[in-house]
Amino acid sequence: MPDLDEMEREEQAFREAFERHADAYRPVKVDPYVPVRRPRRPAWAAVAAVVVLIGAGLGTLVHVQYSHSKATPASQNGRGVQTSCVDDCVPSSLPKASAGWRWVSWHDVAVQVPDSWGWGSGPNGFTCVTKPPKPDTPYVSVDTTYELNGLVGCAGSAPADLPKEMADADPGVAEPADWRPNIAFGTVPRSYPESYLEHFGTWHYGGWTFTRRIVGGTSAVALLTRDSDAATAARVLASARTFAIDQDGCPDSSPIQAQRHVRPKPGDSDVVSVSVCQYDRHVASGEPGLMGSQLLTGRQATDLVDAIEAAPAGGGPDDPSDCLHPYQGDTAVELIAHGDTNGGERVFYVYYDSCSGNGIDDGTTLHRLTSADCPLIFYRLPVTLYRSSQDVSNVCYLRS
Amino acid sequence: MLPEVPPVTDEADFAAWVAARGDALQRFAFLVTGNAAEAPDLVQDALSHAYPRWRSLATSGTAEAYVRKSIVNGSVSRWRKRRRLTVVEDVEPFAEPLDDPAATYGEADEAWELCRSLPTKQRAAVVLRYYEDLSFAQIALILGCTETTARSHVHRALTTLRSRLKGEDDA
Repeated sequence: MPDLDEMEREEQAFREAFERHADAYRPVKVDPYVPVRRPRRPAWAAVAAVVVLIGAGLGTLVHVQYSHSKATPASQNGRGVQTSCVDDCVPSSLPKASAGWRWVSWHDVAVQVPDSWGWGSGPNGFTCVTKPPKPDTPYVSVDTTYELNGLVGCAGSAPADLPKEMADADPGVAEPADWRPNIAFGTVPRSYPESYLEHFGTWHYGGWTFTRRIVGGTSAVALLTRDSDAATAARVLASARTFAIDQDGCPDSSPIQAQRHVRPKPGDSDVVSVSVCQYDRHVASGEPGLMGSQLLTGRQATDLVDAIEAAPAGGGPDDPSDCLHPYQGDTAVELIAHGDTNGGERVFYVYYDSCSGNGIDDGTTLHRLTSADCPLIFYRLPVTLYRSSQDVSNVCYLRS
Repeated sequence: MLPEVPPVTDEADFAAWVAARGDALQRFAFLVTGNAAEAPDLVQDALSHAYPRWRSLATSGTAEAYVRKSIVNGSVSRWRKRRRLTVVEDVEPFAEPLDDPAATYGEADEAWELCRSLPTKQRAAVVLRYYEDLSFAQIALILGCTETTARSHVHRALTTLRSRLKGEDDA
């Protein structure tokens, strides 16, 4: 077989072909800002559809129920934050939620929603993903920034008289008859023109009320409810506040937001509960980057830590041949294992979508992601395994 | 949920980069797919993936490779969604013949016809080598394969073209 350097004639033929056809092609204008990528858009997909999307055999997702233990007096935790034990001594700077309500959090803002509200995820940016129908229940939007795009297609068309600010009140769902109540979170830039504030306020259409409100200066919430649920809407909006540590014991930011891999400080404690805190690694360290959180208690908490400790050292799975170096990944998870009152905490950093260095780091050892530990990390929404190599997804999805 | 106002630096940098490279990326997308209608969509998709990561891509100097990889992967994904049968070879024929049938058929035309039959990633390798003039190491990075595989993609395409041209010479 001839060597490459003996094929000048063939090389020239390819070069000429490409030059000719490239010259004949007329580029069109491409708008770099369509779609808008980072807004956390509410979604219309069902929780079950999210399960389908991420390809997991998770079955019915268990709605988080908080069993509130007796509150203890407020104290300062190791991070210097005034907290109180509101659930199995998980520190939080938020007060205990009202009966029948729960806190949901994103970045540094939290609101209370009725316990009956589910989680939803779906269209990301400008693409409308064709998925199974959205939840029947009102829902809290999962951060979909790094969700895989699916097929493009949006059903229906918005009424001509719909206020333009309500166009994405339930994204991917153009017709108000198909809307579902939902709440979503978003980022407000640190500086903006005064006209930007026109996007905040309250609008009404066809028995629906849509409100956008800035909370704390750099975050915002968008709430869609039926006019008949005005009392619920008022209560949700009134609860909105910023926090330092959320209801699941997760800080609003983490060192793992750094683009490089970092190591936690080694710790030691028994395990009563584990805070599972997911962060956006494209948000600068020190800035609020919490994307979602959940709390594992009881057997799940101890099983997770036991599985981590039993996992092989050396990290992984890594597949450097299937990624773009030095790609460091989009998100990461911080696990905070809590002991009894005053029992300290133990921190793990979980990397899963990097070119290399994936694994669970306890500060001393980088443990491998396994089918025993990883599914417990991504067990419940809103913590989500957005993108990963096939090897990681094989161990991290809970199979039915 | 909210109209986004990204940090000024990222926005300005990204816009400048898109203005400078957008046309070239579209030409690359067109050569990989042979489909003038799909090329802008592929580039738009790739840019939408790149924007949230812009700061890290710009810092590491991997923006171009990242976007090209997205374009190639997007081309493969779109074809896979359209096909009706599961096939072993990931072969996407070019959608539109661009040659003027009335023109004299030359070696470049033979090369273009050959490209129409190549699997997407192999075609991308040939485009990256002979239109973008990239090294095999750079091609491997974009395609997510080893340098040996990238070299093999190109070598096989050249060998096939040589056979075709030799057949015409002998005729």
